[in-house]
Amino acid sequence: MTAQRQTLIQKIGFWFTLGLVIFFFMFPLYWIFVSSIKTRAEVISRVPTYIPFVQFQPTLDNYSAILVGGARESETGVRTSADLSEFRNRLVNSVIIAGASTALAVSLGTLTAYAISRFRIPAESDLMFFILSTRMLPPVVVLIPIFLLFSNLQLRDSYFGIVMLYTTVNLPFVVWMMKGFFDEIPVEYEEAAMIDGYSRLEAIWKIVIPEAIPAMAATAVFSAIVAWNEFVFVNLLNRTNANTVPPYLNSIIGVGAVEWGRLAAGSVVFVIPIVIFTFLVRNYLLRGVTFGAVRR
Amino acid sequence: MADSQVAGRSITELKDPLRPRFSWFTDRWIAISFLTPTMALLVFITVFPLVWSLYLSFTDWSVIRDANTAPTWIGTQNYADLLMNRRTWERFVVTGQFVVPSVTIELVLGFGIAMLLNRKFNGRGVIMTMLLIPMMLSPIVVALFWRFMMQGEGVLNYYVVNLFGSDPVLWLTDRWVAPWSLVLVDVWMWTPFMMLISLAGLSAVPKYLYEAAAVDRASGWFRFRHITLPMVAPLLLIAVIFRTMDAYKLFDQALVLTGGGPGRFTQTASLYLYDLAFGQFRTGEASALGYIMLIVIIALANLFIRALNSIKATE
Amino acid sequence: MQKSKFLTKVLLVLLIISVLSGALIPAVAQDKPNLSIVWFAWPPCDLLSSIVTEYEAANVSVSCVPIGQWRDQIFADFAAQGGADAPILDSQFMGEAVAGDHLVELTDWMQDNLPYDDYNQVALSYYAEVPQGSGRLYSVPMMTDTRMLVYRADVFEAAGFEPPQSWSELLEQAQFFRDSDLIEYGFATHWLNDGDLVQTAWNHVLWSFGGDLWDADTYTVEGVLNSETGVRAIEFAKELVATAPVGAAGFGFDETVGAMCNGSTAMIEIWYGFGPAFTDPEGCPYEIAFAVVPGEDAHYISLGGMGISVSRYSPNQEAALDLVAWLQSDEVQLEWAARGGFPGRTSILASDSFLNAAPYNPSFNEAFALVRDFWNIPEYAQLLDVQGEYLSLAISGQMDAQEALDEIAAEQQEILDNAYPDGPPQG
Repeated sequence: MTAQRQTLIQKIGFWFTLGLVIFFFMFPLYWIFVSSIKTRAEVISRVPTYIPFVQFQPTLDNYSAILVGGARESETGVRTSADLSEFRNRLVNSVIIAGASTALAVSLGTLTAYAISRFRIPAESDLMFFILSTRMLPPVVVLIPIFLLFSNLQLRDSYFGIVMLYTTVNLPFVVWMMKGFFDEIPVEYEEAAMIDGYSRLEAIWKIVIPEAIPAMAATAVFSAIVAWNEFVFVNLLNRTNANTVPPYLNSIIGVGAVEWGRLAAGSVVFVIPIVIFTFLVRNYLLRGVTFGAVRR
Repeated sequence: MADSQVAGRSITELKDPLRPRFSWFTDRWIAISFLTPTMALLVFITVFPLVWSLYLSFTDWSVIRDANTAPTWIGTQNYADLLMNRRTWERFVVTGQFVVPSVTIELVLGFGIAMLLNRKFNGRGVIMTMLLIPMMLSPIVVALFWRFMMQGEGVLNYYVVNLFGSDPVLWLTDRWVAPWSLVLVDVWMWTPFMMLISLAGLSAVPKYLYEAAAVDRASGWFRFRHITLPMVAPLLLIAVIFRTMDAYKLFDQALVLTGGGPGRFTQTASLYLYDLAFGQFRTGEASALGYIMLIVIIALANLFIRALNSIKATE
Repeated sequence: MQKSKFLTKVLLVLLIISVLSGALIPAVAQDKPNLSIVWFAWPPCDLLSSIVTEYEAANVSVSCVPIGQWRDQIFADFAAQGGADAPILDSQFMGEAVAGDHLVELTDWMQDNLPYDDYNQVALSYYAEVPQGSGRLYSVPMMTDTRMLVYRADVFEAAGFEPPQSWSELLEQAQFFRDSDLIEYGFATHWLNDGDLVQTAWNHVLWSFGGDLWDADTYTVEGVLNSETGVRAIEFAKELVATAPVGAAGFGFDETVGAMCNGSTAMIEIWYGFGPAFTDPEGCPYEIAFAVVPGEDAHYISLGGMGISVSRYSPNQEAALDLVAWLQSDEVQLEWAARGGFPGRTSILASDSFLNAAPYNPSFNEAFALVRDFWNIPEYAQLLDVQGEYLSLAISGQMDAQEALDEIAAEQQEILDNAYPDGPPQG
């Protein structure tokens, strides 16, 4: 009887603590979502409201403002709130840049990882360490020379430049992840195929790559997230062209009219793909966030 | 399942063996052509810029003043100036005051949550994945969310005033509070990371060790101290290394949340470097600061790796 | 197996999206030159981006960047020898930009192509002339601006107050409002250390109290700034902050406008350029009136506004000059004035279309006659940085006023002495 009561108390304690944890991590996310469906007056109201339809009447204005565009105009014909239609262009840019750099990083990085995993490379561990060390570099340290390099080569404000940069940023990650996966695929598969008359390239294409595709997809998602979220470089290098969402979100505060509702809507649109991706790659998360250093 | 399929495929397709294509493409050439693009990019976009900025760090060059003149070599003057300057040291102190509490709290909290989650219950998978979302978000978005909540009359202060009856907290403009606000946001974002790695460690502890301890009627603390902790420690140390490196680089979050203010009480080394480089355009000096940061991080990494090796050795 | 198929699809979708969206980028017709303007994010920048859509000779894009990044972005672009064709620089940036040879000199061009004599001489001198008094011009006044007092007419009437005639009276009124039941807070402005926010808000208090930032003839800060008057001006600002909403030391433009438009505050002080935010009945549903910022022993108001320049690195300098000329034409200037912009030409500033455009416009010419600017020498950014750091701490009560001014004076003096070891430049 006492044992049972104790388990009940334990159970309550467990769920209560868990509830606190979930509340702490989920509250900001819910708050931003609920702010995105509030009117301008409601969003700056000092008494917080949480439940749409019950506490306040939700609106999709913020979403239409950022996705469709248009600004409110006062009687004098002056815009009284920023025209946020630029958000759309930035979203398209983010998709192009994250997509292209990810595709490039994953394809190049996978080949490199295969080579390192399968062939005898002189000073292999030094090579892997070199690749890893580029990840440890504080980005601001290379910001100056990258800025000068891109300025001299006229790569600023271009898709090509920023895609190359993000590809390079993601390459070490892809190489480390994919090498880990290739090490787990038995060499015997390819060897059998090659004994059967395939060339090495055919064996890679027909045997190894199909085996590696799930791992490549997970790696791709992580790379895409890095490129999607990056702020420092793109903010410094790109202005009018090929600029992405994060600098834009940062720039719509401070314009003289509090646009938190719009900002919240922009953030929600920007964050939804990340949330979906997180669910998709949940089984690879451990490897992904530790650079393949920790495997399950 | 996967094995048999691959094996099956290779057998069926090879019933009629073809003459291998691309066989002229020897392993040696494959290795070279697979490695070259990656290495070229890394050298061109990482190593070359590093060498360039090493050179600049020994000059008094400014990118806006001397755009068309060659840099003047001034030896180690920039390094001497920086190391003699009180400001530089203050920036590293600010960085340390951010990194140490953040990583410590994240470690304790993350490990605690992992202990909590390290059991079977309904909805575990969903809850875990939900808790992992914060660390996947853009630091810019996270900082903007929190800045919104931390305003003078924002939602946090509403509860501070109405639940606790205290004065509103100046989260971002009080010199004593603002550094802790940065820590709070970092804890929100990165505790899930510690949790994830701790969970991996916990689930790897063999069950029989606990069973043996139960037979010996060992206390909960004893089990934790002598079974759980030693088994998980190496993984935790890896997690600490990763987090320390990342926290040390803190830039975007601080830029959006406080911009280094009030005064310079939240200006981390990265923010200072950015200001030197692209606010004041003292390019040479900023490059030197970059190298000082780099040396500090390499030293830190070495310390950690030594600790990791000694933990592994004692096992 | 199921899962890996799913992930395969993810990869495929990523690839397809990237290819598709690449193909969907609209091909822009290349027969017209592309021109770009950069300014900081505030209502006039929005207005400008709307007005340039009417320009037919080029495709013009206007980017409105956060004020804290405005200078950094422009100068980073200069450093890269690129950037906007026609940057709009703050008056204090001009010295630095000209010293680095980043701008096209416009002295002759303006005299040949623009109604030169019509420009407000104060605006021309502050926004365009480098160094001051040299007669060499590097920009065309685009937006004249200074600060205005915005107040709640209904609350003032209920209290039986008139707009304040001096800073002391303003403080008394603000304290009255804070302690009364009429309204929650007294006075707010942007005390944040970002861009030049805290400096422009405080400097004219100092000047009106009879103090100064430096001696511009001898480049002396030490002993000028950290005077008794300086301390008084900081103590005064601290009392003002005490009548402001919670967190006022962290207020930027957003929060300052917000303090008026959420009905919590009786008075605010801000740039005329933000005027449209207060005349919009939906965003700001209160009875609001406008007045000239008061003086004290003297009467000065911080200068805002700026001119438009042409970048030396623009590949289309001729087209950029044509754009500037178009923006300065009577027709566009009248539209600019009517829709909330503040022109630099005296005839337009005196025109009915300007004076009737907004309820705050009639007071503008009076206020603009009182403007004063601060250091526009190449070391501006460093001086500003030092002032902002300690000033914001002192005003928010986190540092002793005298100590803060001493720190500012010492560090600024060191910057000036290093830059000008032989005293101020001659001529």
